[in-house]
Amino acid sequence: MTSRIKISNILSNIIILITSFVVLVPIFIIVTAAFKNEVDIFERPAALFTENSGLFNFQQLEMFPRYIWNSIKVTFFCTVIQLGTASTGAYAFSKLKWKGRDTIFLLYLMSMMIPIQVIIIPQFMIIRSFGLYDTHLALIMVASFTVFGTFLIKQFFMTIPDSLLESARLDGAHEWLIYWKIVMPLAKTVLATVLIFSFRWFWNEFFSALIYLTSPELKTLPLGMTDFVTEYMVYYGPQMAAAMISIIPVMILFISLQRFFIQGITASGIKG
Amino acid sequence: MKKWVALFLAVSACLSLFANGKSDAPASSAGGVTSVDFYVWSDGNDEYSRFFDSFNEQGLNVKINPKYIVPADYGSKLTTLLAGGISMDAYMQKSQTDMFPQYYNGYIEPLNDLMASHNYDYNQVKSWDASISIDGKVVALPHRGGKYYTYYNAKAFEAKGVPTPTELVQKGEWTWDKYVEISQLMSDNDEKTFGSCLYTWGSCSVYPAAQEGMNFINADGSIDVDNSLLKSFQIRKTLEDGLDSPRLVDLKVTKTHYSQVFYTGMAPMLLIGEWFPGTVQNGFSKDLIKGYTLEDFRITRLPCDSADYNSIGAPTFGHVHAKSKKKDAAFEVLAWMASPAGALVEAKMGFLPPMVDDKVMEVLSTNVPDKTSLEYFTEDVPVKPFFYTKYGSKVEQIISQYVEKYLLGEISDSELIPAFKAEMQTIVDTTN
Repeated sequence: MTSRIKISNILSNIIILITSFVVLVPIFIIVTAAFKNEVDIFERPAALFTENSGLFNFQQLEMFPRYIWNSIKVTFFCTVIQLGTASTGAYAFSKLKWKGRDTIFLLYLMSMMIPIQVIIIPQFMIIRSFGLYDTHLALIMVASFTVFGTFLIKQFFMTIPDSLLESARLDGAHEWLIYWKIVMPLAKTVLATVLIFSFRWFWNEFFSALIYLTSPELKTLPLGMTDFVTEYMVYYGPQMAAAMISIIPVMILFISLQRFFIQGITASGIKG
Repeated sequence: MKKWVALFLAVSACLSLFANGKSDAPASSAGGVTSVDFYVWSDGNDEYSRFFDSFNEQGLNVKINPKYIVPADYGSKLTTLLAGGISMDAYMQKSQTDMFPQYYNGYIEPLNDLMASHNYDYNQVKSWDASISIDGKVVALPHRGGKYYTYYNAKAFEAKGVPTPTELVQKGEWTWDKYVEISQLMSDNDEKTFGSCLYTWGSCSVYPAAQEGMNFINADGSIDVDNSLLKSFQIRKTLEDGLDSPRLVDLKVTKTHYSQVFYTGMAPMLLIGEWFPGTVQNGFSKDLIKGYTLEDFRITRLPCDSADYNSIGAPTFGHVHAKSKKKDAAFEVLAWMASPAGALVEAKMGFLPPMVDDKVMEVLSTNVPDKTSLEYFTEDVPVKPFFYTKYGSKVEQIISQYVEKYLLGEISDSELIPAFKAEMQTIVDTTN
């Protein structure tokens, strides 16, 4: 091994160490703060545990089983619907030939650049006129489409040879059959990627939930965390305990699907 | 079996998606009782929930249906609800200057006709007229007064042997320079115990300027910015640099509320509004205050450089929503809040009501046991509201940006005023 390669390896390791430190420190703070009282959380230097550490913050999460169930429900439907709309959209944009296809796709992509704060008021008016204000269905309806997911799946579909689809068409298969029986089974990796992205997004989604939900019993997990933000105090301990719980489902999902996730990222040509 | 369980879960989840979609229901009344949807910032267990409960407990034919919104996100949610045309009867105003754009956008119902039809005695709150009227129309009714004070913990001053703000007020020496000096004397300079606290709101960084009547932008669009802005920023910077006041950026990042600073003894002196005795009462009742008692809690005037003392601030008030289908009922709620009966409830919770009579004084004395403090708390002095025009909300945002820039050294003393004036001109040019 030349000295140049050695230096390069050392530098890489240092960068990995620094990056890991930056990523892991907030998680360390969340985990330790979840077991500390409000005073000990801000003590410096930060200790792993103090003599006052305990489970008292978790005991304040009595409403959280409901919030977790609400989050699971909303996230599940949003993710499944997004997979359906994104994959059918991607199929139409990549495998069907129709006039204005690329222009419409470009416009669709451009909509990704519009911040939610800009569209929230017209969107809110539509939801209100449907009588869906303060329902979970409102959250699901506004999240039915994903531009990024459509783009990701489209990129993958473009790698599937058209000859495969042509053969099926010659055998008399209609487009739904080709989509469902030929294209979708080949796209498991990219679908897993979109699933993880969507799941993570909706699991953490706060702004739409804040706007569309009012009833305490409908709160999702991120909105529920505001229970500990009062006018006068922010109770970090229970917030950290709730944050710790909220991380678990995402981690389980990521770990169980990481093989597909990495393949999907590679196959669709998305980096970073 | 597994399939059946999965199917059952899926069906029950699907059905529950449609649940609870009734909040936007049209006007309704049951058993002759009219329910008023009242939006307010609250966690459902604080002074506003108690205030609403007090109203509902009277058993009148109007009931408040509280709509609590997380305090930190009240502004963004309320803006969306108003713009989105949600069914709403009344709401509380958290940022008083927001009433101008809300009124001009047609969200606020003028109350003149309602006051006449309900025989409301406006003289009760007429002293606040300038703060609750726009273009000659009354657009809000206050349930709290609006004045800023110096609050301090006498025990901490006694321990350090430093003259108290009350003593300095009585000698006519409680100026802004003296405030800095006393803060320095009270500080331990260890970043744990400071001398005083100026909170993170833009308005809290310009007390001296506001007190001198600087309006930033006048109602006619002319710019009103002078060196008192620089002086205000310099006071804050001097205190922060000397570790005599918690850093603005630290308070913001750690979301430390001013009450926490005072409760924990992090700073024994605080300049804030008339609601603070109520906050302190809440702090004692929830056992959040350590090391001192209500007897040690003192109130006096703000520092002032002028011989003629004036305070600053605006009352806290609510509005009737212009699109409400139950305006009369909503007005009845507001009218009660801005009446001697509502004032008594506010006073019991430790807040300064918009009107003070003997009964209110008697009740307030239980929350402010120090007699001198109570005198200062209820004295009748001129009050100047902060940047109280249709430009006000934007002005406060610019103040917040510039005070941070100034504290971080990104803008010098000589650059501050010209740059700030340019920002004010942009606001004038871009506000309808």
